[in-house]
Amino acid sequence: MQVNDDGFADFVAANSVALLRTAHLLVCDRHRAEDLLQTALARTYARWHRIRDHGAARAYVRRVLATTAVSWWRLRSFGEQPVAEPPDAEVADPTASGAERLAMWRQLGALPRQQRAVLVLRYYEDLSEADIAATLGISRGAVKSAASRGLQRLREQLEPMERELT
Amino acid sequence: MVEELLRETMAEQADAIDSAPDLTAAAVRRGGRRRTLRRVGTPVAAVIAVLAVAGGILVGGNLLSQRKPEPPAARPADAAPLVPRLRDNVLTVPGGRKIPLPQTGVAVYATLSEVVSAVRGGWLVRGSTRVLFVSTAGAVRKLAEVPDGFDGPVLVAVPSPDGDRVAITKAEAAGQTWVVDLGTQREVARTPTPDAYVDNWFGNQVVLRFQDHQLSLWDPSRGNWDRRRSSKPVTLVSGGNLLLGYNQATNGTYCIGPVDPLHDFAIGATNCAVVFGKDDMTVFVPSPAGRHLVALTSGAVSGSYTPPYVLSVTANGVATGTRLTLSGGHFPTTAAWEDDRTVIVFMTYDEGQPEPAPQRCWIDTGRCVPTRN
Repeated sequence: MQVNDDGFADFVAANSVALLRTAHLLVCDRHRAEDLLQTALARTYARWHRIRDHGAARAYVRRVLATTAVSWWRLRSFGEQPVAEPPDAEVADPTASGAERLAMWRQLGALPRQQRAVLVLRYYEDLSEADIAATLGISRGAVKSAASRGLQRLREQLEPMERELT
Repeated sequence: MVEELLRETMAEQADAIDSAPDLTAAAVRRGGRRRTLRRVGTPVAAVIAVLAVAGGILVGGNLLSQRKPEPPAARPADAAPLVPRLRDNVLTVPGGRKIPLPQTGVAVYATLSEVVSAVRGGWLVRGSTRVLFVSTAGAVRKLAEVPDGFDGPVLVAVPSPDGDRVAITKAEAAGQTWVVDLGTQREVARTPTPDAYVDNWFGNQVVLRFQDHQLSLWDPSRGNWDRRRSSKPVTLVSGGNLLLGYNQATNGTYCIGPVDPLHDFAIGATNCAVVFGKDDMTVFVPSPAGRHLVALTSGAVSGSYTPPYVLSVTANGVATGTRLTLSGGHFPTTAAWEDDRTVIVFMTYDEGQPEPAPQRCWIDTGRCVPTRN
């Protein structure tokens, strides 16, 4: 195996947890997230010798993660199936705020993939609109539109629950 | 504010990931194989399980339904497995001959999920980055390849039930699917539109899956484009003259049975067998004649494994059959059929450790014995 090539193994060891967290948010499933990260690292490895600044490698992998997660093709490989209800998630907190976060997590998983990716990059990775546009290979206008529509959909889905809780 | 709640939710979910994924080469074999196989089992297995897998192993799980199965050879119970195996980019074919494959720019991770299938005149090696035809004489020909470093989507390839052709989809080519005659290794047909990928075969027709997960039939010999679609999400596990798939029942369990591709790809409630729960990851590997499926199941959440079992396939449905009794403490990861009654089960192992001997299992009794590697 060639995983020790020029620091690649060290890069994986140092960044895999952080990258897996991002992948988890992008696909809302731990196992699919590992598949997604594995795919992204395979592609990164193939180009590792061309990435002169290994410090930028994490951004590169993040881009591959996001674009792959948005791609319907890769999701086919995940065996993703459309379901009537978003998949269940672990419930750790039975309080109102815990219920709200659980509802948010479910609704996030039900968003269209590009909207979800934009929201993850914006509100978890704290990227600017310009950086998100570069990461996903779309225009800034498309980023704004996806973020706006995603947030609006989350509001619409969560408002009934907020009213119930209050 | 929804933004604040969104930040809190994502932070909480991210914090729940407190350990690194197991991404060593052996671990990729171990876990990746399991997942990949499920895919093959799904559409090609996703086949795909399409998936399928390998880490160095992998197996021909295609359904050569128009061929008679080879009779079991008279050989010792622990004889080396008579199935093709792929490891470190070297294909070992039944009989022990080793055929080096071309080097690839993605040698470490991407090729770990390659699958080897027996086809007419040789073997087909298929993965997300390349599709190779290896003749029985040892000649290797690339049928499709993703360029080194290509970031885009990937390849999917599924051999026809008779092993004469292979349908390939490459997203780089805008998702068009084309069919290659393995006798001439030349393209013989191509889909008219680029919005679907090959999922499986039904007789001489290709089952295409669209972006919305719906299925349709395409006849490569006539160019017909049957736009009938599936009525419910269904994952195909084997093709041939009988198309098998599973869907998710309302109670969260999965039901496997014959799919009707001439109407709506539905699985009838009366011929469907509930075989695994929603938390399980199951790989189905069809036998050469398509009369049986071996199911390898693991709990995706609990991490537990259940012994492999065999499903019998009839024209009316699928029935649960023998449970295989493996020895040793390793988990099964994938399987390959030597003939229609004997299956080789491969085990997980850790990097740096010797690979556990694959076990030969007889489906009539469920007995398994380790083989000589």
